[in-house]
Amino acid sequence: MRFDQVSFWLLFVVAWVAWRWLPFRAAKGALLVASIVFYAWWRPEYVLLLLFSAGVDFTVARRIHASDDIRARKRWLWVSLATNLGLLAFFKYTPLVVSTSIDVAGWLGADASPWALGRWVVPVGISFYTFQTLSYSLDVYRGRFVPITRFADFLLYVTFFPQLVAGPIVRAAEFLPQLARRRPLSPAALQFGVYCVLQGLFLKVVIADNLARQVERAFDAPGHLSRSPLEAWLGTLYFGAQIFADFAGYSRIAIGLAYLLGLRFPENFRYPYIARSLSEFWTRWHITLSSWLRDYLYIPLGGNRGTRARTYVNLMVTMLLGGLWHGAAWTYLAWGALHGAALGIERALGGGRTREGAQPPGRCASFVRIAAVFLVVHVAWVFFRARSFEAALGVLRDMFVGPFVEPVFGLNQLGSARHLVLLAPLVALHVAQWAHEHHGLRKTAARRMWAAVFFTLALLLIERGGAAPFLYFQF
Amino acid sequence: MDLSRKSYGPLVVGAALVALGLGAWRALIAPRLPERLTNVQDVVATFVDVPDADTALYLYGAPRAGGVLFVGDSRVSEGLLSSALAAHGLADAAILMGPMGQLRDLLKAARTLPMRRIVVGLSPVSVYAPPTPNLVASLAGERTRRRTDRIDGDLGGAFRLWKRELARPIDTRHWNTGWFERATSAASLAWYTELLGPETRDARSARLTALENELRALINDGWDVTCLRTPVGPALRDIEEDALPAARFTELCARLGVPFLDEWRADYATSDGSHLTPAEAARFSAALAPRLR
Repeated sequence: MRFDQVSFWLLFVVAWVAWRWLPFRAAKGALLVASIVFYAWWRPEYVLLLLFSAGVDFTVARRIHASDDIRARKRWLWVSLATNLGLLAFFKYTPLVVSTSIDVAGWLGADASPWALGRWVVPVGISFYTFQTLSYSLDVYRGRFVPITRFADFLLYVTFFPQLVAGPIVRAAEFLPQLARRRPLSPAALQFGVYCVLQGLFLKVVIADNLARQVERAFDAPGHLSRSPLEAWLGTLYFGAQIFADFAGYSRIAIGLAYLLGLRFPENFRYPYIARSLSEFWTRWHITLSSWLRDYLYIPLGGNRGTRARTYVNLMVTMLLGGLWHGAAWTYLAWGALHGAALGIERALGGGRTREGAQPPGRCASFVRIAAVFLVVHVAWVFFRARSFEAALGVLRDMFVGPFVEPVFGLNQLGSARHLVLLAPLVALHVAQWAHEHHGLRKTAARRMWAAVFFTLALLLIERGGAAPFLYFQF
Repeated sequence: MDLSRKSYGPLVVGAALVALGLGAWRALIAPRLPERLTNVQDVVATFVDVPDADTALYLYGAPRAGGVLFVGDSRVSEGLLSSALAAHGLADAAILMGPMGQLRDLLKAARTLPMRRIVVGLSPVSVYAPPTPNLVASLAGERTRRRTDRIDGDLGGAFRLWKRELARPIDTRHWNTGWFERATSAASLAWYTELLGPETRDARSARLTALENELRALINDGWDVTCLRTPVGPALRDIEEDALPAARFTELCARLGVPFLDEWRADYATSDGSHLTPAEAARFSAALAPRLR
């Protein structure tokens, strides 16, 4: 069951009616049941894992809070860390460990192919909900949050269907206080919720799904089909647009759904392709993950408080683990390493920081910086998207070496360029955000209405390319 | 009207604008859009599982005793439109097809349905073609699909059909054809040449003999059998003739004593040399229905 499926909207209508009109306690119960049904619709047996993870952190947090003994508190925290990271490691990284072991054994002359795993199912959303429950225990350990007493409320926080399988990663301190009372649904909240949902569906169904096939053509074409340099560039550009539209679309729908229920989620994307530095990019892309990594990994590692070298190491470790969080493949690690290295270089050049009182860069300098960040991010996307290291290097070769050694494009590949029209709304949204941030363009209800009319008409008047699952479901 | 955040004005005005835009689209733009690339049945398909089948089979329409069942490969489902058949007097028609569907499997599936009147779509591919890896994977995927996924799929299919009816949306698959190209059947013809290559002829010939026995068994069991050959483009006819001469289908029907509606050489436009365009599918269905009534 996904946001872009009819079955989800049937469930949501039932949940919404129950949430708005039942007595508050029963309404929370109804929302919890809806969330469990939402997850069980995928695979009912994995609900137990979810309950287990939630149960462990609920108990651990209470024990930590109840204890004055620092060693006991630490021990309990280790229970949470071991459980959550253990689950994550087991389900996500076992296939990588096994396949790498088989490869290594092969290099050593041993046949380890009988170890090969059959079909391995990674519980959907495990990366998201383990990070949420883990942050709850960590926040209680650090004394930033007092654990709640109702397990049902905690379970609702962990399983809440709008954000369960692909975020945003909502912290307990952001969500649980909202369960104290039901917020009235104002016209403003209703309008904004509807706007977010329509924008998210537009991004996913119209943009991402219609670009998916072109991306496949560029990245997954069988070896015997040639890929011109133009197609390699277009494919990479399309993937940058697809992953943004897909993931930001999902987050936008989640935020809209929360609004319609009278709840608030943190923003997860702020039009990342207008970032003027990579460090700014990471304050605009998957914000809830990058802030999670910053607060629970980068800063505890020492952040930028130590030596310069230590800061670079911290950056690299954070980005490598951020890459691995996305999936068990060396390509994700390479993606993280590229970002870590680029962030380090940017820091060394002083590009990521704005000195206090310093003039902001001019229009031309801003444009050059945006273009540079865009290029680096897209080169890194090649590793993120490619099915293997060799495939990624093949695309990069076609992008950068190809134009000098083969025809840049062929007539039979220009059809792919037609899909550039799908990028126009994304460009418009980014430009509007730029105008909002730098030129005071106001996001009024009337402007949102016009945008929502456009999104709705596009949803109705453009056929869906293919009903692909949200990309971030696999993470 | 108040269009501020504090009123419901933007929602009301927005909904009215969407309705207006949709009306304008239907009246002014939709009639001028290029035709869809492929025929889309106006009902949601149901997966039909047959043990030992080569490919996944799908049923379009509700099977009813007394109705007509069309069976064949994608050429049958792309060449016949249920709504056009119904409009011309063939109301209780259902289509059982498979992408590269094999008649051996399709006839087995047909026996599980309540109909006793069958129109068999003949083509060299449906007599025998080795299943491609994609089709094998697709069948395996269908077999392991969970019930909840099927519900999602059926609801999504119904929604897509409703949306098509309501808004006649742009089909972005057109865009894969470049600015300077026309839809061409060259790729499709090359694919058929490889699929129906000389190494497959013996197996096809053996399957044709088996098909004759299966059809005879159906007739003996009281089925009313009609054979049909849907139109294809001239270039594909040569490839098919090499793979299985048309005369063998004529002889088969004569031996069985069943009517043979041979429209193979009829003049209809195809989208890829093999499948009828949607408009031609409607025209072909309209022409065919009275002959089967």
